[in-house]
Amino acid sequence: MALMRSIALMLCLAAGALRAETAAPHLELQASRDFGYTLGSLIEHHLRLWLPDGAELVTPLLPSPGAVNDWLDLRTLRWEQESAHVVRIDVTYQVFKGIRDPETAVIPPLAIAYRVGGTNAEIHTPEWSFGLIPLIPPATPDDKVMLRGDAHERQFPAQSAFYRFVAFLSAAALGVLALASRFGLIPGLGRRRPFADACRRIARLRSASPGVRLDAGLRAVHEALAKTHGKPVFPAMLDAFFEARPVFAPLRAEFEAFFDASQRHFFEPGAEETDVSVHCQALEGFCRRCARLERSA
Amino acid sequence: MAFLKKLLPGTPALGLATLAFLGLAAYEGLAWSRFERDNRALAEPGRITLTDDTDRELVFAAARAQAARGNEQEALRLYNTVLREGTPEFRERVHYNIANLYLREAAPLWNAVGVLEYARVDTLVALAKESYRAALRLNPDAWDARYNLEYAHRITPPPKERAKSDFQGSKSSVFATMPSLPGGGP
Repeated sequence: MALMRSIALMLCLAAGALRAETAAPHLELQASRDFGYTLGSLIEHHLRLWLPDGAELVTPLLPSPGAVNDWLDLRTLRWEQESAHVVRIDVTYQVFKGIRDPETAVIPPLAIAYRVGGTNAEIHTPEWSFGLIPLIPPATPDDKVMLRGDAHERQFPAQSAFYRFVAFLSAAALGVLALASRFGLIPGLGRRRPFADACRRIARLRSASPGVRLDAGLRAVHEALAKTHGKPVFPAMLDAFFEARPVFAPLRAEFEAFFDASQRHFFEPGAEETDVSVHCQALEGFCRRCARLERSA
Repeated sequence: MAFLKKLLPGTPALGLATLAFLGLAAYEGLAWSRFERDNRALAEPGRITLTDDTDRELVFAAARAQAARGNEQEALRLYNTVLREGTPEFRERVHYNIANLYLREAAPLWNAVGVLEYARVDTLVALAKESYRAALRLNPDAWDARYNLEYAHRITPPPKERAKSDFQGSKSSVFATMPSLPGGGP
């Protein structure tokens, strides 16, 4: 029973302490160090503000950036609600105090406004002392101090622009090469297109006589077939050719007609029809269709 | 090979990409040639011809050249034309150089004649300090500005004593303040 009474008493005391803690706002200041600052240094303060129930920060009344006094600037002030009762405030100061010897300077209290029960109240940060050291050796007479020189102009980044220029130009050149090879404009580069080559050769023969044109055209198509298949193709090998390259299968009838025409032209001269130019046009059309299938492969 | 073929874009996309790269190459090529020309101008800042379109870095170089020739007023005028332009880094340099102009004029005066040139030194140092502060607000790590600002503080003339216009003397005459003859004299 006595133990129960003691526990109850302790709980009451703890609750009382907690209530007292939540009833009065208080502030905790954290700073990284309080020594080794010079003129121009930034000083960061991290504040944690505990507010009682129903109290809130009056943000419009928070100190705004600007001069605190003739040697101290408030640079930034940011706040964040950490929990219902705790607000985190980050303050950055900048020191502009000119000194001859090391000395201790004091950042004055900062008023933080909050509202509780419809009335505004303030809580002040504690004064904060820190060590400030001079940059110019104290013993140096004024007339012996060498001022730091002017800032120089910056060079324009010509080199990096040049590198970017070369990189983009190279990429464009690669693109042009890829396009050229895709269209078969560069011999030896990109996909082999024997039928496309044969078509060009036939087109170049347009001014020749129909006999010569047919002769050269047939040879060109035979060569294209051989290059495509990797070895010469004869009529008996057509099945193997179509099996290896099914893309040409839709033109099977035309391939057979081509071999018939070739047989007649090279081995049965008498059987050749009189209008050779018709054969030439048919051969050119056949070659173009082959080239189109070849491109789609 | 088939994998590579899949990776390569189609012909229209390849054409568009090639055109885009050509455009970018042209843009960078122009920039490169302009930067080369401007860098040549920076090498001889005294010959920079200033127009409304002159790059601020060239104006900065021209101002520095004017200051080196002893023409501080023109240097200040040029610095002030670009004071609010460009990146914080550029503005920091401009503020710093302006401050140096003021301080370089104030320091010899202070060291030579001291408070005899009170008004001039005080004004120049105040202007220098304000410009150094502006530079340090833009870049707190500007150690040269920190150093020179500390020097500006060192040579800041002490504030003048306020005129005692509210003197309420109780003596009716200045002679009344003179010690009288010692008592017991002849």
